[in-house]
Amino acid sequence: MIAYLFIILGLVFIFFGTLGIIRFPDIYTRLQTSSKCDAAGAVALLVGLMVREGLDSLSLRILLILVFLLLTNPVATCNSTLCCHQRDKAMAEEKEMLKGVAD
Amino acid sequence: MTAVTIIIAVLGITASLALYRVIFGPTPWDRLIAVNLISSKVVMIMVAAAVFFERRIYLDVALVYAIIGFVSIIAISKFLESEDTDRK
Repeated sequence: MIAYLFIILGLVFIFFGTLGIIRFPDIYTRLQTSSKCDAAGAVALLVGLMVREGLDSLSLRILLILVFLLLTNPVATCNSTLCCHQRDKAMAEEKEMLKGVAD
Repeated sequence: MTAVTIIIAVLGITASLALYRVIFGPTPWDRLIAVNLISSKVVMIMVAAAVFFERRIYLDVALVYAIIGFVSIIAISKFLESEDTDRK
């Protein structure tokens, strides 16, 4: 029962995260909802599957995958966000410079 | 309609919805984060299949798939970043 509660919670997070990926207008909002889908949805789903399986070698391997996803997905999102921010800043500076030349 | 059918159907349908952003994404970064999302969903599908079908080998496949997905995301993002700085 608790296992299926966690699984349903994870599926709801994943569904709304994907809806945000499609509907949101900006790259930063999309990155936000994508990281939420990865972190909360995957963690809730995998914890639900672990609870359903019980204490086993299989559930320990699921814990390994869970820790790996928790370590790597925020790193990938942070890297993408930093690169997007640097690109936007460079484009804004370039535009400012071009405006100064035109004046 | 068992539980595993519902889980795999929801994950597969949301993965194919994220494929919309891969095809029609305005910038390469949108495509990159959508591919990241699809890869983590494939990992979750494999773990669900391993638990419900009692196939332990699927978990090793899921772990290796997660590692390869992370490395490819970091590599593609570094490539796009270097492309931006070159153009500047």
